[in-house]
Amino acid sequence: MIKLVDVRKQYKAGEDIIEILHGVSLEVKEGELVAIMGPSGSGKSTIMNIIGLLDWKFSGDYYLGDKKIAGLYDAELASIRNREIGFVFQSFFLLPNFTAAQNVALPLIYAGVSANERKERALAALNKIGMQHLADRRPHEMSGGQQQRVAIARSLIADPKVVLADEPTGALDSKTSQEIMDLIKALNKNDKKTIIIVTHDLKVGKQCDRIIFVKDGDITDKLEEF
Amino acid sequence: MTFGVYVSQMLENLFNAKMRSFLAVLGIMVGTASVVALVSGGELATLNALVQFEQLGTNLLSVGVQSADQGATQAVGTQVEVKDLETVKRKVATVKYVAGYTNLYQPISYAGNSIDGSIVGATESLAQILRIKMHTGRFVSNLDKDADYCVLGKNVAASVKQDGGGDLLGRQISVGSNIFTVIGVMQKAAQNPFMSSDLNDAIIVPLQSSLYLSKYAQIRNLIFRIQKNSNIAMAQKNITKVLNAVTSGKRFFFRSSQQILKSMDSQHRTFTWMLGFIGSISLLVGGIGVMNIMLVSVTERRREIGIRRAIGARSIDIQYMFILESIGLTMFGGFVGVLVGVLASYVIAVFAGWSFHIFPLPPIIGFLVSVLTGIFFGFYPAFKASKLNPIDALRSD
Ligand SMILES: Nc1ncnc2c1ncn2[C@@H]1O[C@H](COP(=O)(O)OP(=O)(O)OP(=O)(O)O)[C@@H](O)[C@H]1O
Ligand SMILES: [Mg+2]
Repeated sequence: MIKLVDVRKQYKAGEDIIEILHGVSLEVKEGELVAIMGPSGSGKSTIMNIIGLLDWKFSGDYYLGDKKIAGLYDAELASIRNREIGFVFQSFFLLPNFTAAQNVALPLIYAGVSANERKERALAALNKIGMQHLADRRPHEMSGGQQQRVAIARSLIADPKVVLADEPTGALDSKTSQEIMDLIKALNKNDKKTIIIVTHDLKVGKQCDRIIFVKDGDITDKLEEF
Repeated sequence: MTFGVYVSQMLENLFNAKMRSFLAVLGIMVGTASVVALVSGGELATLNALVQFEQLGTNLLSVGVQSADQGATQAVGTQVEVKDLETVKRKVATVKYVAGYTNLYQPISYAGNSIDGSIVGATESLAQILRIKMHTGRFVSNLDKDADYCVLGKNVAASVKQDGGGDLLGRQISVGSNIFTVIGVMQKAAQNPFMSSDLNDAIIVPLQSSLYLSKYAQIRNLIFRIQKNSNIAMAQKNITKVLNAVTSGKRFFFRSSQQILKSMDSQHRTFTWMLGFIGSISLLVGGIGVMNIMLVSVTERRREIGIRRAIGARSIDIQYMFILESIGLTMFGGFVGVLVGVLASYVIAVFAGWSFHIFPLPPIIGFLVSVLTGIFFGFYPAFKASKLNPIDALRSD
């Protein structure tokens, strides 16, 4: 489903060029639930951004499904992000002036779905995770766990094959974290979503099919304590 | 993403920042309002002037007679005399009517109360040329010659009437040391650019009588009605020739309807250019204000831009979003500005005593220009927003 081959990422810092990823290769199969773990600053988010097509300035090869991601136009990248990938972030990233339902429906706007259908599908998505009663709440009127559920509903609204979650439980207490993890596991099991989670929490990592460890921009197969 | 969605999102976003949106468009509002008000006002002024011309016809020609020697206060050379008027009419075929008139100031009173007004010595042709309408009685006629009759202008009649109602005809008005009998009262006379004095404030006496009233009285003004569709320049030349033959030491200054229209037109054009300039300046300032606000908005909403990009917005979607917000702002400003401007032009019309009329062009142009301002000044912030890297946008807080 997802395959990175010798992916390198460099930043210019004044005169110097710093390499953040030194040739990362990894593969995630369809329907897998994978955790990425590693110390802070090791490059986990950088990898996620490349997989999520938020960052297309890297060297190496990236295959998503049977497509090679190279030299795509902005509109093509946007369309893939819109239809094939769902994002979940540590701090939820809901639009503050939008209601839960409006936030959930947002990706459908860029998919050209009609207003009525957007609303219908957003409510159905909220319903599925038991959140329909909060449809008209704005983010600041919801708890962190509730916001993250709304964000997960948003990531699923366009029915993507892949969901990328960068520290989805990082801002939540352990009880709420587990609830979110249960939801994510259910999505993986029942809806056959391919899911990648970046986490610092080994308890979260252990619930995944496998863990990919990152250290200083390299994949390591050794488990270390962080 | 359909256009309707862009618009509804734009409205939502603008509404979420009401106060700021309002402040941003204040400049646009003021700019549009002043341009619309002033241009409409100018149009109204022209329209009302044209209405006067339509009443009088466009084939009038007035002549001012001045001494060639400007320093002389006493009558020098030979004056235009009453009989000369006939001569001009006879010799210049294109002249339909000619009227000469005098203008003098002497104390006027009625029943011991003094009355404000000037004295105009005229012939019956003045009424024909200026289309003077009578309220009661009649205008002076050629048969009156130097009779002691007078015709009252509307305002003069009003002040005579203050001393009791009743018919004004036959009353005795004293002018200087003479007594004149009222033979007519005029209706309100429209302002016209051919007469130096306002007939509403005048007492009209037969031309010859006025010449006897004062030794300073002279026929210094002539008004001609030329035959329709005749060459005015030619008429002007022929009239000058005849007047030069019957007078001496005089210079003649012509004013034709065409001339006045032309100068009014060029005045109007300068005015419009000037207003256009002022308007562009205020729209420029307003536009820069909008650009400023949009730049702030883009900076503040980096996170939102990042989120939208992550869930599938193309960079052009982001650009549309901000340009549309900018247009929404200026369109709102333009709309309110047009309303305020039209209202202001109405107030101007009321105070100037003009008839009011809404001209479609200034509001349309004002509105369109405000929209264009939105596109123009919204472009850079929107472009900047669209070029924002999604990761950088998401990382900001
Ligand atoms: N725009 C940038 N310019 C330069 N260096 C950057 C830039 N963005 C990230 N980095 C560097 O890249 C490295 C990897 O960052 P990344 O965000 O991928 O780490 P991470 O593993 O997600 O860390 P954390 O667990 O704290 O989220 C860090 O050292 C960071 O300083
Ligand atoms: Mg990170």
